[in-house]
Amino acid sequence: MTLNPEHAQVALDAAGTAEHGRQVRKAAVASTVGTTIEWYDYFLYGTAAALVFPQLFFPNASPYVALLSSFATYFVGFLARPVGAAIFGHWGDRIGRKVTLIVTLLLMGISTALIGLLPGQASWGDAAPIVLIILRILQGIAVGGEWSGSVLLSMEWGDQRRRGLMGSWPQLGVAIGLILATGLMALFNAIPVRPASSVGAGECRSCSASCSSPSGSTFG
Amino acid sequence: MPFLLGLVLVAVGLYIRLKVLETPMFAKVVAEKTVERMPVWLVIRRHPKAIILSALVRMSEQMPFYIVTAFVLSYLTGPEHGFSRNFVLIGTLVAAGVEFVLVPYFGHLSDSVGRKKIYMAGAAIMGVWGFAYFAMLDSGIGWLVFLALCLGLVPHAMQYGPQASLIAESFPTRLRYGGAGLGYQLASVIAGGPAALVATYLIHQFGTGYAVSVYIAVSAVITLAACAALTDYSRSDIADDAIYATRGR
Repeated sequence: MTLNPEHAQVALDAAGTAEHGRQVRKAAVASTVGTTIEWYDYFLYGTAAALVFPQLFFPNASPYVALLSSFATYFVGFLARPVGAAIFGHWGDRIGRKVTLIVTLLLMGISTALIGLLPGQASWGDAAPIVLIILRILQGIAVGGEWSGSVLLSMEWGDQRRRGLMGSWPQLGVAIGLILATGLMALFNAIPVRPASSVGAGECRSCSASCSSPSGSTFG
Repeated sequence: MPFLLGLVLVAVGLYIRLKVLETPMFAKVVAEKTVERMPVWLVIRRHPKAIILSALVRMSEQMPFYIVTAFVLSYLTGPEHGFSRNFVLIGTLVAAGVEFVLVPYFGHLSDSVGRKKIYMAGAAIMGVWGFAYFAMLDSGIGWLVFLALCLGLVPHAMQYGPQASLIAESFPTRLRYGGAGLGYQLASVIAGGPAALVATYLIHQFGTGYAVSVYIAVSAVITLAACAALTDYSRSDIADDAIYATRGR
């Protein structure tokens, strides 16, 4: 399976036209959205890993072991990243940047959604933390494949004198993700919350944002 | 709510991505039928140096990033400093705003000045900034601490802006996705991953923030050396594979 040569020709023909300019802008936005999601989730997961997941997924362990286990699920996501870079790097260089980036985004969205919906140890037993780790690995693989494609989607449009600027758009994901996550945390600091143990993980993310320091994200 | 916002972002992202075209450079690779069968395997064999240098060049970018955005929270809200969480969060928010403006600025500047020059200047400033940063944090003067928080990411932006193109340009188009991705993500193992653990250990061991400053300075030296060894392709035609053939290793 590879990119349809006809589609390739459409992309090549657009060079130099007004459509080309529109495509370049669209590509910059499409790439920045992906890295924004990546970083936004990163900052929030770190917080949840520090404050909510220990009680939710490892309630029977001592608090210290529960916290370490929780951080371990966090770290596993990072180990998965180079693996994701290799898997999606293969497809990105074979079937193209665009298709690969749709797959990484879908995988990132699905795994994040499932982590949010995952019930705790109380209702699923030991399966809950195991599923959490599997989802975390999937998410890490998706994120690992995301960055490079985002940068290339924005950069590979041929304009020699603007490549540095174009490549810097997806790098904005860090700043936007940090603004969204930190802003929400500062906002939620003002609102009183329910005890974290009585709600699902998805709910807990909002709780964690309200009652936490994101010290968990130090485990990046 | 924060979780829902994430899903909304994914939906928006999908909608936009479905409508973009393939990049002209990759389209050219397809049109010329030079797509590789095993691109990742090939890039590891042909460009190992570029992959490793890409990872090393992130030392003084990724590592201090975690210090400035995450580690500082536990540092400043601890009993010794006693600042409120919101004080630190708002400082971090301003820093993110500054980063938002400076990243494209330095990316743009690297187009005229050259990637390596901007990047190495950023790394050198970061090495020195680590000491000023902790001096300000430990000063006990509220506004000075806040200023340190706000300016925390400036030398980071100097590196992060030109970084994407600096790394991606180190690989030919048909091996670029895999090569750039591997180099960038491997940094998490050596730079970002251990940052919090090492910083926490250093504070515990030496009892002063300056120990972390030294850690940042060491990372800057590593980045400077790695960056010096990278080839600057900011003025090359990166769609032309021939420029990599001569200096690929």
